[in-house]
Amino acid sequence: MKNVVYNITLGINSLLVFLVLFSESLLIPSWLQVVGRMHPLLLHFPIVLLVIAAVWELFLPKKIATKEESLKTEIGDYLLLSAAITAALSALMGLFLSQEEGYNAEAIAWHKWTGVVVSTAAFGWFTFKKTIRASLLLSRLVSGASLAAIILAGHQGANITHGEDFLTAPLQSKNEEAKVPLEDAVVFTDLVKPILEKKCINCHNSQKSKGELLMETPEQLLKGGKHGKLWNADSADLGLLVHRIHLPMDAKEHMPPAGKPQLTSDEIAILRYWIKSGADFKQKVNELAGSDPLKILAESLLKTSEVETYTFKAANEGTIKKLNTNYRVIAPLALGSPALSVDFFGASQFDNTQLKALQDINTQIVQLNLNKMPVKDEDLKTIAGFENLRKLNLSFTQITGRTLNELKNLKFLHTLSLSGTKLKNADLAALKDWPALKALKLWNVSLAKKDIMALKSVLSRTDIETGFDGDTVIAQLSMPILVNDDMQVFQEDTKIKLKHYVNGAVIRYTLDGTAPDSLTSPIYTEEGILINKTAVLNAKVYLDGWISSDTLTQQFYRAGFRADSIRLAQQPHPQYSGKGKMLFDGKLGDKNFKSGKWLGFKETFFEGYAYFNQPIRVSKVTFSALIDIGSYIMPPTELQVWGGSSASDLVLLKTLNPQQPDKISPMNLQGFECSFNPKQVRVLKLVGKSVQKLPTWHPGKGDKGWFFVDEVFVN
Amino acid sequence: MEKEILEHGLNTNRRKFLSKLGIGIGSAALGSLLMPDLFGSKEEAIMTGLPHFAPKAKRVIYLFQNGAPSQLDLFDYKPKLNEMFGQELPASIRMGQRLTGMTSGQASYPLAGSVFKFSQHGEHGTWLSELLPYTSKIANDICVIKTMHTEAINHDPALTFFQTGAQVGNRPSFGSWLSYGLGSENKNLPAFCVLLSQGKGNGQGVYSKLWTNGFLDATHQGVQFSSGENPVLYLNNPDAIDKADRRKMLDQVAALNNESYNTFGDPEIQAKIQQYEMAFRMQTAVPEVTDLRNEPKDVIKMYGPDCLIPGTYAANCLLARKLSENGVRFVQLYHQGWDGHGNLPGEIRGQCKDTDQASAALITDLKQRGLLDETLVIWGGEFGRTNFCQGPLTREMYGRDHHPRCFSIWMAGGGIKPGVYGETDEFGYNITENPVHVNDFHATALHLLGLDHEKLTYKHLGRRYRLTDVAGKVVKGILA
Repeated sequence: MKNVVYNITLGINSLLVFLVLFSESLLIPSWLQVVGRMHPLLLHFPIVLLVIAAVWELFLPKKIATKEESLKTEIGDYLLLSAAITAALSALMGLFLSQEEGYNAEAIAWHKWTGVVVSTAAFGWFTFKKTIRASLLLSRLVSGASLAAIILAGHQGANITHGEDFLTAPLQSKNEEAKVPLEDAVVFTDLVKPILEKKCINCHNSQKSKGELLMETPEQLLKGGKHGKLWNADSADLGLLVHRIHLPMDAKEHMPPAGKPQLTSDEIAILRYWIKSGADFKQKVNELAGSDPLKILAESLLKTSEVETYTFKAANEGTIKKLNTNYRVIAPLALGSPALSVDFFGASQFDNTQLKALQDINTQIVQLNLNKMPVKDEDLKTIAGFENLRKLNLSFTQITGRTLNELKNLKFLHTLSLSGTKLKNADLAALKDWPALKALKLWNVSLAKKDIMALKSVLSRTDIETGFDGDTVIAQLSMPILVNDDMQVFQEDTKIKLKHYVNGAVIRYTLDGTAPDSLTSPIYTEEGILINKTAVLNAKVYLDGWISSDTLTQQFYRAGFRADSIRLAQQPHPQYSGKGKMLFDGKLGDKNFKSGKWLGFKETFFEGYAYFNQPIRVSKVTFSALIDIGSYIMPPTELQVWGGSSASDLVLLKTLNPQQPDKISPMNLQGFECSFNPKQVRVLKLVGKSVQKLPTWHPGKGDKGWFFVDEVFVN
Repeated sequence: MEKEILEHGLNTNRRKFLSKLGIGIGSAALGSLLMPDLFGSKEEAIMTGLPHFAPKAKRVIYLFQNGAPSQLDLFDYKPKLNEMFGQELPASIRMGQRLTGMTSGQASYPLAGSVFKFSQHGEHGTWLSELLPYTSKIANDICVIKTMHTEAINHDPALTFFQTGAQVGNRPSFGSWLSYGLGSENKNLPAFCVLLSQGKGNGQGVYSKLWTNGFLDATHQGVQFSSGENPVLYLNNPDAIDKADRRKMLDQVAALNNESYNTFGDPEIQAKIQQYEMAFRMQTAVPEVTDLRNEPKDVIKMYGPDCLIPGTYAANCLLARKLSENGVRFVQLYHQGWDGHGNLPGEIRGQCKDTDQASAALITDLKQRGLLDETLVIWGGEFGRTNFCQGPLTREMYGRDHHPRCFSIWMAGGGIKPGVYGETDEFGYNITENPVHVNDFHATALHLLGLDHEKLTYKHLGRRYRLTDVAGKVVKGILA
């Protein structure tokens, strides 16, 4: 048995050495490829067996005297032999596999030779085992050498399968390598070439030119391969390279081949746009137009991180903690950053000793926010001591600018906010020659426009933000607000209360339905407006320098008789079926037809009976209706009021046909008054007919319209 | 009460004891594994209340346009829809997109071009419709992302997705994550404030689950401000109680609460103590911040005079600026009324009138105070609207249903590169370039705030949760 295996091993090793020497002209039939692909499966056996054998050999007895010792030696023999045959088989399979496409030629060459060495060495070891075992030193040397060889071969193999730095990747720092500054970047060298190097060159290099294509130099790229030139900017698919990349994954000619790292969509886009733009090898990124997709891609890929690194030491944590209060918040910019940002909150809690107390961290402060704090001119001296300050907010502080030149000592300061301060023009000279200052906020400052213009010309490298200028804008005031908006229906004399928020604005109003004007209409006072009868309020807000507001129009109803019971002859639409009682509850519906405070009719007409226990004398019935034309809610086409002493002897008292609108107007509430000769009644029948066909100008032309009613007043 | 006692018991049961013991022994043994710099790799601690890296923005103001504004009438200019007005949406474009119950029964899906005129603005040639005259003026400051997309197709899940990173409720809100990740800047105000306003258009509800702390500590919950005259109610001391009395009272209550905490160990008690303390400090801080009376005329003109009327969108924008300026990490606005299913042109006119000026004013205002570069402002809804008409179609009148496949939002401020990002097809229906998913949006926003969205985690029910759950990548193309 041993002999048979030994001879097979010898055979395989001979074959192996022969094939390796002539591997250039080796052609592998497909069935052998299958065998070759089992290399990754089998290779683990020789590794394990050889490691065990190497260790076992070290503990073998020098002389075989006992049965046990002979057994140990026997086991050692078997271990060595099985290591040798599996090593030989693995190596042979590996050789077959190496003939397939797509491996890094250099790495394969090394792995091939170490594999052969391991295989032949294991065989040699078994052959000369007796001699080796005789000497402890030799035994140790051979064990160590074969361990080293198998580890080396295994490691090389793993690198081929998993990638160069697979094993050590977790130890390597994740920091990306230094990028080329965007202004120096060349499209080919810094965008295209790295992609080719990462995804293509492994198979298309001088050692392994698949498809006779080399991709290492521009010349080689221009030359193309077996199938011709790589690109053609004029063809729809931009030529071979882009075409192959876009083939479906399962297509045989898809590149990179299945199983290899594929191109990302950004990488494809870069190749595509570069070829489309003419495949210029010298094109610089910053010479491209701003909207060029290549430029946009380059910007996102090559953007150097703008994160500033600070060289000063972090402040003592205890100091920071001690200085932190509810009104002075000190925090590092980020985890592990020595730089601090300091914010002050609560103007009433501020005094300048709190600023002076920051001495202990004066090197670390890079951002200081004193927005709205009562900071005075002399405090700028303290601030000037924060040598690393980058960003300073002094908006709405009490500084006058007298001491601004102090801040010039801050050589890193790039953003300064002085909005809302009482700066004096004379002090602006201090701001001159301040190249480090990139942004200056000067909104709402007490400076003339021409002074700011002058400043802009001397501070040409600073972006000066002057913000919104209210003097150039004439705005419209908002409508007055009705404070007691639940009083539209009133029983006794009542006061209308109005409100407006802009300081100095006046409200003028009328009660007779005419539009208020800015000269003669009465001015609203805190007292309110007393009304004692049904009236319509029109009110408007006026203020010099502003456009007067739109008119607030509101109907006020003096409540009349309330029906003791109500019966609806036809039911409203179930969605808008506010209870019939609502018609006389003393509350108007609101401006939302879905609020449930409305009775809505579309398929049926409104027809209701109001019963009074005592006879009443009626001369006027007012229907309050909602008009929301956009929502198909129209004025009624016809209103009828019938009256009598019982439901059976009603006479028609009044028919009203309200005017129909001819365009869409905003939603509003409208009262429809039906006046007639006074009559004694106990029952009123009220009818409201909705629009049957919406007019042609309406989006829902031809459809039925709605009639929404809430509250009926009987006077 | 029994439940609490039971829970306290569970806090120190045998399993807890053993697992704690296990950790003790284990950590001694495995100490070396946890030593971060041992092998030169720099694993950062997961939670410290500090940004993981230098942030571009310190705070967020999120102007949520609730109900889904129509991108096709505001940002995404598609003349093709006007050319093909009334023609059927090609099936090759719709590609089996599911519809809501509101249009799934419709016999046809006629394309509806916008009735509004579009023009280009600013140095990036940003297309904006005539409905946004004020936003047009800040075109150089904003980045319009035309390729947002989401999976949800109805308001509540979509809104919840945007606010919490999940379509189902009760995960912590975006603002809560930020409060948890970065802590509060100004200890006298809540880190996360919520302001509501209502437009006149068709509205959709917002619920407190949108600003919930979820499984995070209760101190991270969003604080909803009242839309009345007093944004924070019951802030004043009652008659005959002065500040010193109040202090004394709170100290006593805190002592009692601490005793109770020592007995039960319920972390909610600690949260409660902290909330009382903050309320005490808010008594002085809030009136200072929320008083709009002394705002200069320029500010009123800029935001529009509505900004003085409590509860309006304009007033909320102004208040948002004041809160943010005072170190509130996350100010969340919701403006309702964008759900234009029927009368879209009519409603959107009103919505824009209410929001356009104040939104733009907020950007200008932050900029002129030197705050824009440290504040991230976001404007957008929960999804987009369809390119086809819901209901009857005329040139001037149409409705649009919900559309999740592409919609537009804009971002501005800290770390955002102004311009236009992404492209949709000529039908405004599908994305052709640079899609941005809701998870990507969250990842990007967190990135701008100095947080790695994969590291901002919280362990709950045996797994670690993130705002971006298991997805999301930073959209580099919109970073400055």
